This record gives sequence, structure tokens and C-alpha cells, in this order.
Amino acid sequence: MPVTDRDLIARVLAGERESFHELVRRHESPLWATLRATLGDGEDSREVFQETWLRAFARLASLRDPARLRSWLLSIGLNLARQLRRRPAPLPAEGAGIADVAAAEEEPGTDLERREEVARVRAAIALLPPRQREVLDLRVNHELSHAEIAALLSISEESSRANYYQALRRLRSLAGDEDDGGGR
Amino acid sequence: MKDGPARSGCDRVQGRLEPLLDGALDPLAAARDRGHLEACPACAAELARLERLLATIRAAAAPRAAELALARRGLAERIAAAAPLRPRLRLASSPALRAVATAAAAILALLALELVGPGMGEVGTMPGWIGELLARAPVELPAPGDLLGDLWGGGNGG
Repeated sequence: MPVTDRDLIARVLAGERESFHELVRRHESPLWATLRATLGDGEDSREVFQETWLRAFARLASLRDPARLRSWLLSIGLNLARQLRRRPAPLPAEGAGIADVAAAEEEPGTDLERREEVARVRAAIALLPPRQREVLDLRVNHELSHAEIAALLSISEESSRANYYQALRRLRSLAGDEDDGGGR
Repeated sequence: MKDGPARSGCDRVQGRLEPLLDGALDPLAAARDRGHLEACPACAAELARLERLLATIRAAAAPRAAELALARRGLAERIAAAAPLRPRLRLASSPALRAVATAAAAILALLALELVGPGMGEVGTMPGWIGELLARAPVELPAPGDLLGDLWGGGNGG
């Protein structure tokens, strides 16, 4: 019988602090991906990442529905990010995504062309307006509905849809530009 | 290159590929666009590009192990040093306490009915033992609602 998030939360609340690390292990990747998409991959993201987990630990008893742990964590993280964010994510300077391309090359198991494509898209996402970046991440990577995104970000469903489509169109047009000659 | 109605079909479909993939079009419009996509290689290629873009966005979001390790560094120690959790007691979530509170509310309601029944609380019209009690040592009884409010603690601690 697999141990569920609900089980782990009950154990933590009963004083078994170690079980919290398993919750971290299960949910750290999507949380980090969202914070990185929102704040960039610098010190701000790391600080908010850690603060999110510390707050989640301290307030775990207030989580009414363990099935909503993921979106609860995201809402804590995004709120903290909003408080912190006074500047856009670090822009990939000229030669956009060079660092990302270099880093992507370290990822094993995919061919170079694909890794470069991933790096280009990552760099293009970093250039999106913050709201579009947030909505894109929540919709594509977390598969949240527009109603859930609207609740998380305190915006309307229409705004969520509009931001999502604008983000995709922008990325599509960038990809089109590259295919038309800018790319290889 | 297409002209006329066919071209306008392409414009329509390519102009709303995102909502189509997002499931946001009404069923009739979606069926119409799907029909066009089956017959139009150029639009089908655009759709394939969008689907590939979505896959690439997912791949781009996958955290690199080293990056995540850096973000996580020191977290275990900070959690270990955090104050112990204090599970919040919610009266409403405890069946036993809820039963006690319900019984208390019922008793208070009955008592209130006795007090404000015929004669609106005049000592002379009350059942003997209550009337005697109040006549000897008049006391101010709080309203049942106040008692309940005290019992339920006036909030859940936010």
C-alpha cells in the first residue's frame, strides 16, 4: 500500500518530523520549476523555495485538504515570490540562453539539437512578461485549469486564458522566426 | 498558396490553435477546425509545431539536478531547527465535543423556553423550583446565544 501525502501529513502532525522530508522530495521539483519560471534561477528563487517549505511546515495543520497540497504549496510560493518580485527574472543577455545552452549540454540522454531547442525555449520564456510566464507554467507544467490558476493568482479566468494564449503565440512566433532563417 | 474561402479557413484555424488545443472552443467550432486540419497539411503542420512547442516547454521546466540540490541546501537543517508543530484543535471537527456542545445548547434552549414562556419570565408564572430560586437570589442569566458563543470559542484561530 503506497504511502499517500495524507499519511505523511498525519505523521508530521503527530510529531514525526522526518516524514516532512518525504513531502519535500515528492513536491520540490514542480515547486522549484515554478519559482524558477517566476523569479529566475538566482538567489531569490532559492530563498523563496526554502521559505515556502518552512512556512508549509509551520502551517501544515491549517491545510484542510491534503489532496490540495501541491496547489497549497504553489500558492505559498507564488505569494512569497510576489512579495519579493520587484524586478523581472534575470534576462538572458545577448546570445540569449548561452548559459542555458551550456547547462543543457550537461543533461544526459538527449541529442544536442533537442537540448539546444529546449534551451532556446527556456530563454524565450524568461523574456515573457511575468504574468504570462506564471500562467504558462501553471497551465502547461502543472496542468491546472484556468479556474484554478485564476484562484491562485487572484485574476479572472478570462485573464488566465488571455495570458496563456498570448504567451504561446509569442513563443510560436519566436520559433517561427528562427525557422524562417534566424534559427539553424 | 491558397486563395479565397480555403485561405480564410486557414487563417481562422491558425488564429485559434491555442484555444483549440486548450479545449476552450465550443464543440461545433472545434469540430469544424478539426475537419479543416484533417484536410489541410499546412494547418496540420502548424498544429504539430504547437504541440512540439508545448512538449519543449515541459522539457524546459524540468529542473536540473544540480540546480535543485543547490536550492535545497540547508533546508533539512532549517526544518529540524523549526519550532515544533502545534496541531490546531477545532471544536467542530471533534465528534465528542460537538455532541457535548449540542446537548448544552439543547438544555439552554429548554431553560430559556421555561423562562420566557407564558408570563414572559415573571417569577410567579415559572415552574416552582425556578421561581423559588430566582426569587431568593435573582441572577442575570446570559442569553443562550452568548453562552454558545463562549463555548465555541468565537473563531478558529485563523
